Amino acid sequence: MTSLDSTLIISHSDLQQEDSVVLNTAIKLLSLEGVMFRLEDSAPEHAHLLILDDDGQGSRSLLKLSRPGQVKVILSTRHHTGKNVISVVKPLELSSIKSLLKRLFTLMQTQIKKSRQFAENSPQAKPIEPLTDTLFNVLIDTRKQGRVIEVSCDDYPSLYIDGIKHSLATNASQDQLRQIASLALEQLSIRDLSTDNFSVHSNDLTMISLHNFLWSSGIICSQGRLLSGHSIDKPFKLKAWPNFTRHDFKAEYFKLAAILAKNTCSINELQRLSKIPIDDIINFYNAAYAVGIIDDDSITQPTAGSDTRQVPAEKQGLLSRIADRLTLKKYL
Amino acid sequence: MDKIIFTGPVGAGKTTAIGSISEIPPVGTDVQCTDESIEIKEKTTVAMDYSYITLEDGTRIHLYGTPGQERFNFMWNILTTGGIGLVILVNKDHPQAIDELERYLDAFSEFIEQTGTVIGLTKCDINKHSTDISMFHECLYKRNQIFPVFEIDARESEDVKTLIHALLAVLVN
Repeated sequence: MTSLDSTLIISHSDLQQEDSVVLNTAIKLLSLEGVMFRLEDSAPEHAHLLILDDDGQGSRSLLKLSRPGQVKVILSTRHHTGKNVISVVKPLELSSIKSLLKRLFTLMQTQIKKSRQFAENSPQAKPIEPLTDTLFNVLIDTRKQGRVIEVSCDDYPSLYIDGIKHSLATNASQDQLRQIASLALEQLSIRDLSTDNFSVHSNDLTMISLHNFLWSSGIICSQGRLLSGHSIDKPFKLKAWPNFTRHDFKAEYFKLAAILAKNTCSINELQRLSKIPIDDIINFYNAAYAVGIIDDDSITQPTAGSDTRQVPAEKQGLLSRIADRLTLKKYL
Repeated sequence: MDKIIFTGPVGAGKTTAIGSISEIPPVGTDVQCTDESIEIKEKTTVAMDYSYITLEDGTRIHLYGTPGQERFNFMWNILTTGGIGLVILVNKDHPQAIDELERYLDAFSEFIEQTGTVIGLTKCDINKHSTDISMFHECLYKRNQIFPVFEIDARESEDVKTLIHALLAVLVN
C-alpha cells in the first residue's frame, strides 16, 4: 500500500511474458501522465482491477476470489460478456491497453469520488461507540494515576508496568505484546504492585518504553471506538508526529499526521479532508492521545484547509512513484 | 534533476543512511579529518556524498549528502538547488543535540519553507548524553514547526525509508 492517494491497484494472473511486458510499459507511460496504477500479486480481493488470461488455471481461481464490483479485464481469443467484464483480444497491444487503462482510471476515480461524497453527505452510518474495558483503558489509567501493575494471562509472559517511570518490563516479544493487547480484559489478570515489588519482578527482564506499548494497544484495542469523554467534533492538532519507526502504523497514518501537523480539525473534518475511514482516524486519535501528542487544550476554531499545498499532478506522480519504489514492509 | 538532500552534523550518519537505501554504495569525497572532528570519526565528507535510486519508469532520484563540517557550508546552497526535500540527521547522543538541530533548521530555513523536511535521530542505542525525543518535540513545537522526528538506525533501510515516506506525506499534504 502506498502513502499517497489516487493509485489504483491491479492484480493479474497467467499473463504471457509479452503481455506482461506490454502491461508494465503501459503502466509506466501512464504514470508520466499522473495516471497511477500499481501491480500487486497479493490480496487480489483488494485490487481495483483484475487482469486475467482466459487460458490460465490461476485466472479461474482469481476470478472466484473477485468481488462482484471489481472490474475484470479478460484477455482472450474469444469474446466475453458480463457485468464489469471487459474483453480484450490477445496478444495485448500497447496503445489499446494504455487507452483502456486511462479510461478506466478516469471512470473509477469518478466512482470513488462519488461514493466518498455520498459517504460524507450521508448521516453517520453507525454511532461512535465509547472505548471502555480494554487493556488500553487500563494502561491509560495506570499512567494517569501513577500506578504500578502486573498484567498476566495464560500462555504469555507477564507484563510489569510502572506508570510513574513510564516503563514496561517483560520477556514478551513484540508479537506477543500485540497479541496480549488484543485479548479481552476478562482474559487478563491485573493486580497492583509496590515499586519494590516491581524492582524484584523486573530484574532480568527487558525494559521497553510504555509509550510504544500504549501506542500499539491504542491502535489494536480501539477498533473505531472513541475514548470516553472525547468528541468527534472537537478540533485538535498534533503537538508532534508519532515516532513511526518505533510504532505500528498503517500507510494512512502518514497522511493523517501530515494534515494534523499543519491544520486544526475535528475527527469528522479530518475524515472529510483525508477520505480515510473514520475507524482508522479514531484508532490513530486514541493512540496519539495516549502518547501525549494531541493538542486540544486551547483550540476552539478549526483551521482545516487553511494550509494545504496545491501540488501539481506531475509532481504528485513523481512523489507517488518514489513511495512505490521505497515500499515499506512493516505496515499493519 | 530530482534529488533528496541529507544533511546534519559530522558523524550523524548521512553517508550510512544514503547507503542503506541506494542502489550503489555512495560515491564519497571522504578525507582524513585534520580538525576537532577527528575525535568523532577518522574520515569525513568534504564536498558531498552521492548515490541514487531508480524508479520503475527509469527516473533517477539522486541522493546527496552535504558535508558535515561548517567550513564546507558553501556547498549547501549548491546541493539544495532544485531539491525535492530535506532529511536532517542528528546524533541523539550529542551533548548539544537540540542546538545542532536548530542550527540546521535555521541554515536550511528557506529550502524547508519551499519544500519540506524530516528529522532522523541517530545513535539511539548510545546513552551517554542521550536527549529524550520529547525534548526535540518541544523544541519544534516552540518554533511552530511540527516536522516528523523519528528515532532511526541509519544502517536499517526500513527506518530510512520510513523517514522518506514521511517526507513525501509532508510534501503532498
